[in-house]
Amino acid sequence: MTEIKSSQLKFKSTGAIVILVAVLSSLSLLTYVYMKRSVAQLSEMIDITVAANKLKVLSGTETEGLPAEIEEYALHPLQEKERKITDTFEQIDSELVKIEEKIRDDDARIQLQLVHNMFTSYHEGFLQIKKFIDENAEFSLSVQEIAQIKENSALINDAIQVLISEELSFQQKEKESLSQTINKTGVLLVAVIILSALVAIGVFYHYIICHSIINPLQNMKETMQRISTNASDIKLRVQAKNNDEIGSLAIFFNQMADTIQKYNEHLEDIVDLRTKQLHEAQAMLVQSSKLSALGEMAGGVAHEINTPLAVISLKIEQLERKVRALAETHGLEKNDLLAYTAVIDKTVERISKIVSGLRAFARDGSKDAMSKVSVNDLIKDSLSLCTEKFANHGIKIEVKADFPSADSAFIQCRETEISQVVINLLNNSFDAIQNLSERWIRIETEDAGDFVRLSIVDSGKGIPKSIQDKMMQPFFTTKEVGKGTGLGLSISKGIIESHSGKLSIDNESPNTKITVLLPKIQSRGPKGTITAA
Amino acid sequence: MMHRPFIIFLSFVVTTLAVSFTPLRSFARINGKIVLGFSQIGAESAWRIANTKSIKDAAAEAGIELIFSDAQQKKANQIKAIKSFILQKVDVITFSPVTQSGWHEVLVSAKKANIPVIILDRDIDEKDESLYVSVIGSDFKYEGQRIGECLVDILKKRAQLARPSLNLVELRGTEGSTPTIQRNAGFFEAIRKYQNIKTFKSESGDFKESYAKQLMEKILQEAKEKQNAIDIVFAHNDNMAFGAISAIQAAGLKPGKDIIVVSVDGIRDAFVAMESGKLNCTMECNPLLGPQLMKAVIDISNGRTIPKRVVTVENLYQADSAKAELPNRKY
Repeated sequence: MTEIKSSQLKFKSTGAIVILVAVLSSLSLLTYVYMKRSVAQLSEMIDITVAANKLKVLSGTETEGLPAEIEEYALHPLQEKERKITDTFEQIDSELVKIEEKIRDDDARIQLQLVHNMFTSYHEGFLQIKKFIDENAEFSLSVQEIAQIKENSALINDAIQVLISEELSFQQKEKESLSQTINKTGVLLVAVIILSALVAIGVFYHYIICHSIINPLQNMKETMQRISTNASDIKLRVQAKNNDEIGSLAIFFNQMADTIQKYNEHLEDIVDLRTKQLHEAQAMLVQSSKLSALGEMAGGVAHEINTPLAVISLKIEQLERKVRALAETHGLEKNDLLAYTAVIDKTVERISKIVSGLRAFARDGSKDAMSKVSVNDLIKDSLSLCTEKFANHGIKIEVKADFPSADSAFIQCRETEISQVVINLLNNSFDAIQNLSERWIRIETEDAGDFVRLSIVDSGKGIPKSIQDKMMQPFFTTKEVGKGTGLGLSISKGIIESHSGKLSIDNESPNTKITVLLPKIQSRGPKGTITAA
Repeated sequence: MMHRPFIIFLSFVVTTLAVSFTPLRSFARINGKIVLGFSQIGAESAWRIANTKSIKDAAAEAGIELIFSDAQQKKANQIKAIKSFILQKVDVITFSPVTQSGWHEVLVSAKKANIPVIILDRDIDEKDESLYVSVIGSDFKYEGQRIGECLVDILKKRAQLARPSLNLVELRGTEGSTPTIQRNAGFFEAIRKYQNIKTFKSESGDFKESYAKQLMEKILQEAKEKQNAIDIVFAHNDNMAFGAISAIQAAGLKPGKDIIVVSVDGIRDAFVAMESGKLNCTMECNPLLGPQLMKAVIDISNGRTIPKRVVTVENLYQADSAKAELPNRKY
């Protein structure tokens, strides 16, 4: 038996989901990286311009910021004002550092360094002014000098503007890549969503496949495997959990197993019955062959007896003539002797008849030609073979003929066969009633339209329904073993049917009554047909 | 004498860094390179564009960080740019002055900040030669002279020099600029003895082709009204000559034949114009000053002294030599 890989489906299903999840994970990771990069790019772009603009504010304009503070400091050189200016320069420095950390464009970086240098110069200039103020209390800035300071702020702001515009033009270029990144992110995101849906669907189907298909199939497969390897496991059944196709498959599988199991059991009964019947048939076959041998022997015996009988008959005739002659010559009491020979002669005749009847019975008459036979003669001949036996057992035989005219009592038949049927039926009646207190047999013949009805009625009280069906079958017998062959009725039925007639049991009669219908010969035609049962 | 703060303000005083607290970190050279601040006049002509390209290419090749500033023909922009360069503490300042005068103050500031200055292409009126290191560029007066001589030569060849009267139109460059002043001076010096060459009109086209075209159209109209014929056009650069040529053609005349057209620069298109006979002569004024400038910048940065005047070697080209020279012109 080949070992079938049991979890192929489950493995494939799980594999598909694992692959999906792996792809989803990598895509998600990629999406995350892209998103993060987009956000980083965006925040840097904003940060640099924000910081640069802050620088512009710190460097100041004509009216406010550094120039104004320096101007005021020159007028009133107070510690706190100096501190404020220094603070501004410190703030400028920190903003510059902030930008420097984030700037990526080379041109902008150079511009930033230039701006840085400009602020350095600015700061140095301020330190110079401070030095002059510290050295000379009466120091003050001229109008041109103040204008110069303001111009410096303006120049720095211009340089910062250049920085911003360079950064912005760089950002413009960056924007394209950023938008590409965002686009990619979007595409990835859509892919992730679709894949997520696929994974969800996949997991759902995986559950469905495992729960509804693979597991029940697995269960069924195992059961089938066990049944197929071990016949005694035929009693195993599959659990039909779900009310679906697989469930009904399980149900039908179970039903199939039930049927096989039942059929198997029934088959055993049939085999037992058939075996018994076979044994019976074998016994009957032996009986039948014995009977057939007996029939042949009876024919032989009859032939052998016939010759001595002829000799006896001849010798009685000669004896009779001699007796007559002797009586005339010697005056013997011839009447007494003749009476003896007459008895002997009669007896021989009787023996001859029995023998010829026996011969007729023993021979197979089915090949004989049909001839016109009188029903009354037929019954008479048949009775001659067995009246002795009936009389000896105190069984009274009555013949009752009821025909409207003489020509209606003729049938076309093989006489020996029909005679055999009559004798069979009479013998059956004899066997059935011989032990009864009331013992009689009545043979009724009557006209029944196209048929002659011949009935054998005896003093029995009918045949039980339960055996009526079986009694026409060959070898069925109620007689003790060795007595009946079980062939009588079935052979009789076959003979009657070969004559286009019918043999049946008349259940309406209070006594046992077997009826034979045979087509009669009429002026209309030699044969009739059965129109009604 | 007391040091005034505004001067110091624009100076690079190393000592101050040592004395006091400074929150700002001082840069040395940007990316370790020499930093050159260059204030260009603008992009008015093909010559100027070629000049700018030459400087940018040469700076890149020499590994010099060039801080380029376009003054858009305005002196104020140039002064602002130079002041910014000083604040930015560049290593060397170079500029092609829009005008010849008015540079003293800013040059003094640069000197105080110890930043050497190279004047490129055009010269300036500055008596204090210590305020700049060198002047690199063409000798415009020489250019004017050569083109004047060339005109005389053409007139001789055409046997027109003896005519009683020849009407000349001069299309000058930017007013007050060195090339305008010096080309004019050199040219008229060369033709001084030919009194029959009379200046019909002398106007500034600001070195621009479109301006020159408009001017020439106006002048031709005026000459027509006065029933005068223009014989000669002297343009201070090739682009203005092209403007004049368009105007002459528009008036139904043949430039180069009916009217002699001469100019300065020797740009590629001038050779094309000469080949087709529309331009008679051009005096080369080499704009490819980049390599020379960078050499000077490196020399200065390394403490070497360079000549106060570096003159570019230049040639005169007439129509007959145009075809042979055309393939050699890069700009």
